[in-house]
Amino acid sequence: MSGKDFLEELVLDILLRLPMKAIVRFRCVSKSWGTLLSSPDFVYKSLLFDEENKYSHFMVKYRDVNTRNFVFSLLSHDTLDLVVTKDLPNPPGFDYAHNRGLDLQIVGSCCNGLICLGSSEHINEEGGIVLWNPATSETKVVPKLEVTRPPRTWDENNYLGFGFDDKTNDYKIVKVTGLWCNPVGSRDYENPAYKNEVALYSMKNGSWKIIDATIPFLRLTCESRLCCTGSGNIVYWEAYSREGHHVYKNAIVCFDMGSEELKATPTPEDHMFSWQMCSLFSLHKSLAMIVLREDKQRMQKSFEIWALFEAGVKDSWTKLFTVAGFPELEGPLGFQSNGDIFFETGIEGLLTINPLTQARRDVQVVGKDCNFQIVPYKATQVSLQEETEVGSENALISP
Amino acid sequence: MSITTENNEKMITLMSSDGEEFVVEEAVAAQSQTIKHLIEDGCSTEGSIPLPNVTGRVLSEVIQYCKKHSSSDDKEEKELEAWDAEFVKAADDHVALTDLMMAANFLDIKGLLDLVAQTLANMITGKSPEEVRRMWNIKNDFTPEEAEKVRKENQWAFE
Repeated sequence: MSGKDFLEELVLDILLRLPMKAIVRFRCVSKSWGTLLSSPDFVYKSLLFDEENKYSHFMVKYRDVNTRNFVFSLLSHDTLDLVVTKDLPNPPGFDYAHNRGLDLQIVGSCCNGLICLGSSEHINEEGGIVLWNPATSETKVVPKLEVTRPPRTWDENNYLGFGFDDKTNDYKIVKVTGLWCNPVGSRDYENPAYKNEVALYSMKNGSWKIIDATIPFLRLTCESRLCCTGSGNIVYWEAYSREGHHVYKNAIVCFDMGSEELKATPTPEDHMFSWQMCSLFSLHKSLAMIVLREDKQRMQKSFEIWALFEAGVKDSWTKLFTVAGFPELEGPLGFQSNGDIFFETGIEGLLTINPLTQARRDVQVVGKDCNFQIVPYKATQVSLQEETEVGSENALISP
Repeated sequence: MSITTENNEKMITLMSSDGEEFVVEEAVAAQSQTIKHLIEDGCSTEGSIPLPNVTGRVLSEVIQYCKKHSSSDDKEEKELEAWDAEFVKAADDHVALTDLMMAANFLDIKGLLDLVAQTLANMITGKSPEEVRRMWNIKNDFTPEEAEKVRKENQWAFE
């Protein structure tokens, strides 16, 4: 068998499965490998390639147009057909529905079948965060973090992440709180007394602990304080980092639920967050960042799709595509495994765009609000009280 | 001609490129979409199905896989995974795995193709470009200048 036949026939199927770092390294093998492994088409396919996680549905969260309640719809993963629409859970102690001005968000993504919901105004209070298994309808209100802080310390913003640590088989919530500890009392951004407090909740233990994982001068900046993505055991946020005296740069911060480490990666260009809308999504193998570039004078907007191949390595950012020519697009919501990207629009609600072909497709859901969240979903029978798994029937779908 | 066993299983004969014959249950062989279509099209009437692209050594491995996977429908997924892991481990080196993958591709057995592709991917993940070239006899057709340029552009992946 010659190398040439092999390359043409089967090598693609092998290379798609490689980690991104190996794909980039093997661009040096030969010219044809270099061309193949650099093409956005191949890179995108590889980023989305996921044999292990077979999602059955997409869960779409939004407000019902009539009742204004928070509801979720399940769409079939492949066809996006509407399967069922129900209210989001509202267990005692988590009474967001009584206060309709509040926002309620899915924290990150669905992790191993469970969903974490948080009300951004209330994540520091008792009942501000709830864990939910949609397949069994079980919920669990997460207890408040009790922590003693030094005097003259006040907290700024809180940021949440939700993930699954497959080494310990544990669902975890991470909360990063920006703390000011200043004896003089002024809120000086240059003051090293600004630090992040990192707290980790373990579902197995049912309790919070403060962990020693901070990066000096790092300030998270997600517009929505719950907004981060999480694939398995890594969650991401947008952040500013201080590179020197009065020099601030944008960065992506990730937290690894397994190693319990924070890591910052500078964005490919400086100040990407300061004047543009930026959204983070996790793909199977990496982080995707969609940046809105707006030309206000010419009333044009375009969305750039970037991928970070390796956390911590700025050079590993790659710009994959630009989606342009759709003035109705408001914001990106996530990726389908076939590469289509969900967007919300001001009028129609939801649609998908394929960044390769720019093909557009409408998605039918009842809500017409611009408060959609979409996460890939697969059912689990995991109990929120103890971690015994009993098969995986899909109780949610059956009537 | 087809033989029927005591269990009333229909048997068919597969012939490898080097003339080795294998008598297997039709249900086992039909895991290969290629063979399934040949049977449906009545191509097995001559007594055996010739498979000119697959040697006897590789075909016996393929049949081993198909037997296991046709009999384990109700078995634990984990047990099957463990069996698969042992199976590819026994194939040992990349040459044997590459042959197996070519056969799985020709015979159109998706499960086996995925399994071998993933095994080969895991095998090369940590390798250098030079090692990959040697594995599959791939010619380095970059000029030294081009090679340096492409290496520089992708430097982070070597660190």
